[in-house]
Amino acid sequence: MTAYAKTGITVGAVCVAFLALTAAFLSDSGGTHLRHAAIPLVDTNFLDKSTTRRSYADLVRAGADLSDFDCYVCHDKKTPPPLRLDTNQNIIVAAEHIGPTTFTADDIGTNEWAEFIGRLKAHSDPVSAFLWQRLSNPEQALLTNYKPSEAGLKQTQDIVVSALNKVVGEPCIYEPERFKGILPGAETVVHLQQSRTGSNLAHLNRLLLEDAYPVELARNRHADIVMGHGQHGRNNNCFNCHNETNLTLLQPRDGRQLTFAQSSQLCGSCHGPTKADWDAGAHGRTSGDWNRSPGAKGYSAFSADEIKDWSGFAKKLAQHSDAVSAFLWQKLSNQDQAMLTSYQAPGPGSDPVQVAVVQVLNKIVAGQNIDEDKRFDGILLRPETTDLMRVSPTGTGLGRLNRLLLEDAYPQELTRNIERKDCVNCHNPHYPHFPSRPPAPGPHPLREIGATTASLNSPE
Amino acid sequence: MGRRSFLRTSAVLTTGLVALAASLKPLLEMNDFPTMERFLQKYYKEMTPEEMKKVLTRIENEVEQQYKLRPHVRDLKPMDGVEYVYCLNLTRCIGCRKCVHACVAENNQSRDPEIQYIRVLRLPDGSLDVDKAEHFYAPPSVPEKGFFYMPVQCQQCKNPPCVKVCPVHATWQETDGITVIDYDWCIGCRYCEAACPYWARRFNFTKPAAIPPERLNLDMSYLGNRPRRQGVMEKCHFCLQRTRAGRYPACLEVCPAGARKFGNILDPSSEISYILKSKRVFIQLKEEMGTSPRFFYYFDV
Repeated sequence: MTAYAKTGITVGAVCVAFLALTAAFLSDSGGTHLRHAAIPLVDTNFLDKSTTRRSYADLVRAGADLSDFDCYVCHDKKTPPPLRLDTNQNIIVAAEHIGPTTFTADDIGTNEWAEFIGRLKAHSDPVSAFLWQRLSNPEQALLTNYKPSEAGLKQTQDIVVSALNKVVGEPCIYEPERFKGILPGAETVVHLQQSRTGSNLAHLNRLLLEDAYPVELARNRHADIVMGHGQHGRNNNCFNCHNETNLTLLQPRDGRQLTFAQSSQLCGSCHGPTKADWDAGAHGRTSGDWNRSPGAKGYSAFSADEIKDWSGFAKKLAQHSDAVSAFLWQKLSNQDQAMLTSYQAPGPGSDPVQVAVVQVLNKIVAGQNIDEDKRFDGILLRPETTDLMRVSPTGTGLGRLNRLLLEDAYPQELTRNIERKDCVNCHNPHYPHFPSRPPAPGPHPLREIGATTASLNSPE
Repeated sequence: MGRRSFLRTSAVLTTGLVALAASLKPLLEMNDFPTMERFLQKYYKEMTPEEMKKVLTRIENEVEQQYKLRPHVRDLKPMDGVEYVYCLNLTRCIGCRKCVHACVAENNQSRDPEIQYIRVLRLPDGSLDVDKAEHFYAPPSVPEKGFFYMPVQCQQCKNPPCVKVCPVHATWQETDGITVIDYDWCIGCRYCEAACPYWARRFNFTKPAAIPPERLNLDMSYLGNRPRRQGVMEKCHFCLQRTRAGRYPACLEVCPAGARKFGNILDPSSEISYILKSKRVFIQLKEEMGTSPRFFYYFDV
């Protein structure tokens, strides 16, 4: 073979190789982007200890009706209630604290009644379908034709209540498929783990129904007393925390006597490091604003987007029929008043009226104490507002108080972006660790971080 | 020229031309050629407020054209007297990756392929050896016995190696400690990705895509979460569109275990100052590299 031929073959081969590579490149074969494995969300089996009800401490501080909680309707003052223990040395909670297992018509609120019937009629969820099967055909027909305004309410109530009570008296109604996606309460979880016989069984069935219809069915008032404080079982004595001779008081081991409104101090008497973290804002979930310097948005100053209902707010101001609205109204200029009278809200922060109103609000917040002339009489103040009022704050604390007062006066219109909570708002004191509960739906309750106390202690 | 040499030369020439055409093929896929406005845009630090305003309007128009929704793009500046620090409680983290997905939703990251700023490492108990870490773990539920979890994201180093290697100064550290990227200035050389010891930087290999318009976060920031282009770097910026407006980052708000803490280290009463002052153990990841992260890990012991 001549040198020419050799060169020709080599160049030809190189050309073919290049052309093949070019064709491969152009057709994108093997050139697709390497896909990463999906990194999904993972289900959590951690403990969400949120309680949905308002804590007893909050009720005490807000001055709510506590007649249902009067220990001394049943107990004698100064006589410690006897503690009974089972063979495993676990405390037996008295039946009175567990409450009745049967339902009455009062357990379904008037407003929730139509909703409850609607769910039964639709029986699209497994529990409603299960209850629906327990009804006879005429009963089903009666419920199907039920209309909220109809007079036959009593008869319908009897049917539903008797169906509920029939179910309560049956063998355990719990089946994982039937209760899939339903949030079990702490007490339900504990009862599921314990024996499912006798009165315990009826109680469990009722709790399961309450969990399945959290809005429609009233919960047993004392049903959350299940003893499981601490994983070692040594803390299950009622009188580790409650005062033996005065059940309306709490009693840490150092001999102090605390009211229920001071429950966090009781928790802190054992869980010292956690309490210190909590005071500093480093314990638990937070959301909202990190910036708590004076005048920062969300701490004391308002911004236009924190007025969640501009139309309603403008209407209240224009009517100025209550003392607080009248007070705000007179702080506005005549021009702003005129514009507010015929106000249509276009959206947050985009028109001069909103700017003017926010400026007035922030001027008021930064000014003198607005709680004067009985202006806030008849307005339900939050515990943190009353707590702050008691210490007559100055400086930053005063700005904070003014904002809280305004928020309380307009609960529907102004954003309450920071709320103070107690340990018991998130933890069930009788059973702080219970497993398998997914986070409660809806936004997380916000919590104020020790800033109030910090600013109160500052020298200004 | 002889017949033989003509054929040889033309074969070589054809091959060369086809190869050239093939190398230019990516240009065919490029559908967002820079407009003259963007091409002539000045460097971020040299822009006057008026020029910046024009740029923000341009970005709003571009986003509106693509998503049919008008965003609110701002250029948020660092606050005076603020230096951000992040603390993460390793005792609390349960490895659910809610932070990862909240971050994707907040920061308008590409969904396909999904770009994630946070990697959650699963480590066996009793060790902090990241070589033993696994980040593709997918058990039925978390936390698992015998493991703990360590989310890693941009550590906002005080001495950031990524900034030093950028040949065009498209990334820099701001006064509040956040290392930012100007997506309009980045040339996509990926030097910063190579320099980062935490694998915190992500590159848009393809055109960021598949953000459903109803999921687009319209609260945008120039240096933060505005949609990126193909061929630029991106990374965690402590949600500066939120934090510079006083709010917590998205990953913190979503954490169900309260493991994440954030705040101003220059404020002695902030929770961050408390944690760094009083918690017994805390680590900076790979602190031997001398990067001095503003991201601290601590334990509840």
